[in-house]
Amino acid sequence: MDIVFSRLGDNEARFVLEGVSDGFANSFRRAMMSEVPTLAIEDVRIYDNTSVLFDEILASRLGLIPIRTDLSTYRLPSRCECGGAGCPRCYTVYTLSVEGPCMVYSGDLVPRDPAASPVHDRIPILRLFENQKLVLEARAVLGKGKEHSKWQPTIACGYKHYPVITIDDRCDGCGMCVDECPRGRLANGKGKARVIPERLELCLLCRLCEKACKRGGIGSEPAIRVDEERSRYIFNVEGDGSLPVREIIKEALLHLKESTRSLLESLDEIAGGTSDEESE
Amino acid sequence: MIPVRCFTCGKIISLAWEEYRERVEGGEDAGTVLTDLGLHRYCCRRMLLTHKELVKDLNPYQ
Amino acid sequence: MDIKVLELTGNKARLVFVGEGHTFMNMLAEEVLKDPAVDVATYAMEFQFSDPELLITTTGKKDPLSVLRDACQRLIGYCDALLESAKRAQAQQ
Repeated sequence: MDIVFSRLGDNEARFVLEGVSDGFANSFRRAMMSEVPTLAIEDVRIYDNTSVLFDEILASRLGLIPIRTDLSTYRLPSRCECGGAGCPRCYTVYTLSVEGPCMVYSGDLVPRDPAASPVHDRIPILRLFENQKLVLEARAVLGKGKEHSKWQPTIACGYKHYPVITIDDRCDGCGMCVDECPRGRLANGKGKARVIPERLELCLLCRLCEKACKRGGIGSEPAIRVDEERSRYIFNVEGDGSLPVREIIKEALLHLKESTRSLLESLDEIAGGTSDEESE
Repeated sequence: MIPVRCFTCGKIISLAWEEYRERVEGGEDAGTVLTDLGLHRYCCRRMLLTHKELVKDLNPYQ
Repeated sequence: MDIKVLELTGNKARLVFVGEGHTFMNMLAEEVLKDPAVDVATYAMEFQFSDPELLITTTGKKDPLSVLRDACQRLIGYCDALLESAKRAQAQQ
């Protein structure tokens, strides 16, 4: 049970997850995408919009802007003490007031909480022409990716099994698999193809090399074989900037742990009710 | 207007739009500009590649 | 977590997990299945957004609830181990 990072930045991470089952790896991926909350603009009050875009399109565009999120300051409205009525701990407000002609950027949004500013300042929201005006107030709340993708902290987030490439003695070094590999993970050496170790993780498991090998007339079984290692996964996680990737990983694991713990509690209650179970 | 995010993966692609348009109009190859701007997946590349800016044409009909 | 018990005997349990989805159920069902005392462990969701129903039958050596509880303990162990290992790996970076 281990995580080994081969790359870890603020907005992207690549790591090898070892010693877990398929189901757990997939739940982990799903939790990262849809159970980690982020801030996104949810309600927009439009006072004046004489631009070419309809209010709805404008609101949708505002919602998609990633916002820096500090999970210790904000709470999900459903879990807030105010019961979702709206308080400074579950939402933050932005104002925008621009007159044309100009391009309106995400940096023009004035946040009430400077820590919850948009991640990028140069996202074009809309173009204003002569005599056009845009005045609005937007409210951002925490939400989860399973409700709307604007609350998804990850962009590309996926995993694949760790590749195991074996080349047996029948390899005659014809080099056809080397030419075929789209990721250039093979090389020719000493009359036999070999795997370049630092490029092994790039393998797509596409098995084009196996097909190329068979085309070389080696028989029905290729000399090169691509297999997947069970319970070892290469994860690739990209964040949209609202949360650092290390936080996404941590929060996802905490979510899984928390739901399991709450199931245990419910089980204790059921056991207490039927009283044929010893409680822990 | 250029969509804020890539429809498929969600990457913020609108950031790259203005530079992309300027450089392509300046005669550069669209493919190299996209790679330069950090758009490596083909879902993100098609967002810019196939975009047509219409707000200016729509403006007179407000 | 809100659980409805549809059926509970010495070697069979049918439970509805209100508000859960594939994210949790898939992991749980697979973990329950690892127990040698378990015969069947599977979940079904009638529609995309309906509450999943978990079915566990055991060979009779253990009752389904304690099987479920053991699986939960193991899952918590996995999460803790990974949290710890992620923390360590990030500290080294």
